[in-house]
Amino acid sequence: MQNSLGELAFRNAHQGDNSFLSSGIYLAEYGHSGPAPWCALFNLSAAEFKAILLEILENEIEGQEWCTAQFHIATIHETPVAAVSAWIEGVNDTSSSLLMSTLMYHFIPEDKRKIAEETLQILSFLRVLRSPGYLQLESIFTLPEYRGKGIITQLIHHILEEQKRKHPELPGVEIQLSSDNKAAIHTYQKCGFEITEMRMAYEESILEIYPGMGKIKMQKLY
Amino acid sequence: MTEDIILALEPMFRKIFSAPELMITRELNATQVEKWDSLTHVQMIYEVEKLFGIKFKLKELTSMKNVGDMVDLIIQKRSV
Repeated sequence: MQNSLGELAFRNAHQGDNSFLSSGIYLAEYGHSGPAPWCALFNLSAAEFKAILLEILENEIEGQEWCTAQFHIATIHETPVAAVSAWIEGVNDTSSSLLMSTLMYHFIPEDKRKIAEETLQILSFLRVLRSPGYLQLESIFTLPEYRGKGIITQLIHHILEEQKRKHPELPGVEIQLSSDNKAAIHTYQKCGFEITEMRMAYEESILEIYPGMGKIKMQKLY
Repeated sequence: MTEDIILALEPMFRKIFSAPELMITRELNATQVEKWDSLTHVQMIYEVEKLFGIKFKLKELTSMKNVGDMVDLIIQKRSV
């Protein structure tokens, strides 16, 4: 595809992309204003978080967001510049949130898990359930120097078309994000998503571990 | 042996999931217990490993679909 960006192309991720993906996921987790929830929760440095991410990606656990095979990548002149993870919720009879918590349990040292127990309770106020059978988009990021050029919009459009071809029975697609991330909400609204659920926290201490006072679910029906 | 393990799991599950009447069966899974979420799930794994003196591998943890899968793994690990 030729446009003002040069040669924009889309492809599936492979294990050779893991370093790019772990850095990008950290960017996505950091959000528009920080903090990165997993780092704040478990008192992890960026380097520790990325190292854990690499281990998780290498294990290719399907049905949750951090699985290399589920990432779609946008490239310009074959250089990765943006990515989105996409999977169908509950396809293996296990929710992605249980898989994610299992991964954290396995990879995060026990002393850091203990630190997180109390703050995890606060974060539970923002629990938004994913709809089984719906396509989920997560870990959505563009490298800073390529932002504002519509790459994510095009990549999401590409993923939605491809997934609908592969899975005609898909009812729709969902994204979860911070209610404070107005720019991203606007971008997804332009892609046809609507806000269908919102959970708000009532303690400002949430801002120490999550980049916003609330979490929203946006949905687009096929 | 399955019955013994289920009997040992029942009080633990009732406490973790704040469900005093919960009856454990092999078919029981997260969708059937209101408070079985990502937080209590991790707590449950931790308590099961501690109670039976075992350690699950990552692939075992991510492939468990219900209590029956967990019981089978506990039996397998204790017999090694």
